[in-house]
Amino acid sequence: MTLQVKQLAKQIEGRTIIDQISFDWTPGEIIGLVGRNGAGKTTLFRTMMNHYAADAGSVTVDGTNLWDVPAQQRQVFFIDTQYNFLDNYRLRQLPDMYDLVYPAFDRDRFTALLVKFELNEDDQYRRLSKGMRALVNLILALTSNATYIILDEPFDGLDVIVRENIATMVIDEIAEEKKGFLISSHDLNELDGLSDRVLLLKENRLRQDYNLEEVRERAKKLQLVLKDREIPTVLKKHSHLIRVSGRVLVVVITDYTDEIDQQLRALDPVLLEELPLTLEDLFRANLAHDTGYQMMK
Amino acid sequence: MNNLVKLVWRRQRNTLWFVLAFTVLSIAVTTGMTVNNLESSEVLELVGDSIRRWEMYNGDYFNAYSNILIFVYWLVGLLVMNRDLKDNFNQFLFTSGYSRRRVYWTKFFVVQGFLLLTTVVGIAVQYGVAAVMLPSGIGFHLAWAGVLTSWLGGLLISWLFFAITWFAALIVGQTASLLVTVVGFTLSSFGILQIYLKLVSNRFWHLSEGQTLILGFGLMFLATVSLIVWGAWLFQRLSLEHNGEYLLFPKLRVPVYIVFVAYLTGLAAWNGLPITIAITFISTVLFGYGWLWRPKLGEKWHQYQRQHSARE
Repeated sequence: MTLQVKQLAKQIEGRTIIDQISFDWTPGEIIGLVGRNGAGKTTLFRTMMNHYAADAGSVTVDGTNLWDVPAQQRQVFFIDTQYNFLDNYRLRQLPDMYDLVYPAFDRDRFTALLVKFELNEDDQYRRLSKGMRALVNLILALTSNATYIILDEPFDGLDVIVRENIATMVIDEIAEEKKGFLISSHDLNELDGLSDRVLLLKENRLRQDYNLEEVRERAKKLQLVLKDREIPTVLKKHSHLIRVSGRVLVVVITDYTDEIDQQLRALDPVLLEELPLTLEDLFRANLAHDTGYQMMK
Repeated sequence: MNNLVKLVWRRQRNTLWFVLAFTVLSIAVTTGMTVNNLESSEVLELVGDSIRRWEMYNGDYFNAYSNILIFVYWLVGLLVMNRDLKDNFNQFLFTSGYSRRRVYWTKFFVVQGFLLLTTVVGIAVQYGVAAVMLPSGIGFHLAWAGVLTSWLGGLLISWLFFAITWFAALIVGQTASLLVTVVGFTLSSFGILQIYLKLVSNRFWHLSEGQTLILGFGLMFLATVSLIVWGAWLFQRLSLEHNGEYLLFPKLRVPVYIVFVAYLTGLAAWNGLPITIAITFISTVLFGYGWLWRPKLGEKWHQYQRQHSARE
């Protein structure tokens, strides 16, 4: 099974918001969609889901166009966090709507998850805090049992506990590889450790499609203190400087090889220590020049 | 009952039950009061003789088809379409796995079905209250000719008003502006009736009462069907990024502008002086342009007023 977005484009009031967006998405994948505020992430989702009429392109599931065969839309779940109808409903009423649309909606699990997260089913959605709403959105997404789940900025403005809850639920759900997640964020740290792939949206287009596992296999982040003040050629040639603090250098080498390792050790550094590589480091190292994508936060 | 019908019903049921309750209550109260007040009058018959003719019966004390029912159709068309837009239920419907065409027609038929029930109940309550509460000595004699014509005509008028508000709520994205638009259009439509009556009977040709009625029914039905079918076509092309703007379909700006200018100028032209027609034409041209193409002019005017009043 594959969901394919092909050459999707949308203009609003004559301004291009997304253009020539193409990517594939299979169940079992967690894809991070990264882009600055206003990059077009939400417009991409809304266009994919037919809230906005696309100017060009298509969204297909196993070759079937979602807009031509609307029943296929039930395989995709998306709640627009800004514009949704949930405000006027109590939590216990929501399954009445969703189980008419999603054939495999799990009402019992919905109730169980509300209890687990101490959400009162008699509360109106609009009375909930931002974090609670995010949890309810995720609970609806998971219990819909749709194959493809789109989460738009699910961590935005949430405290650590709620963030962890959401991340844990997503990871648990992916274990059976029957579902896929597409999660947007303007903050790389939120997607760190969660995404398998990251799509970078910049200036209305998809600039990069990174498989993080492959990138991480090759890359290393090192903390170095050298005897000399001069930066050796091996670092100049192969590394990206992330931070300098006195004589301490923090670098990322995106294509770390045995040869580079030998050359570094041959310098006899005072300190040569590997640090955990974050998504942000990778982006700084990989994309700073290609895309100018430097300060996401 | 399929899931889409259930979904539409669950979404709309509170509104529809409210409408039914409002209809029953208001018809019962107005009919009861009217009939009760007859006690002190010298009226001997609740319904006049013209009920025997094949025409719509609107008497002094009894309408064979209550105006409240027409208002209810008008109101429901407005509420159902506008609420789904304002409450963002359209977003859910558009991803519900049903085609937009099915969503539109299901919504239409569920609402129409309920309105028909409301009409039957409303008529039953009206006739029932009149019969039960009628003071002794006053007759209540109906005839099928007037009753059937009134029901048919009443339904056609109700459907037309429903179609107008339903269509307006589909294309207008601002609730306050929508209300101004439909109220203005509805009130001005009484002027259209006068124009129609003059058009069908003038020095060049003359239609009989029956022909005028049948032609009127035909035109109303045609207008209703056109609006509903056009609405279905537009609904399939609705893109929600225009939510909150006056027109949800930017391509309708020019047609709406032409209709707005021509309609109001036409109304003014019918009975007005040349100067009135000229003023109406110029003001509608300017106002329509500002309203449809320069919404920011209004914002700037409000900002200017705020700054001005702040200085004072």
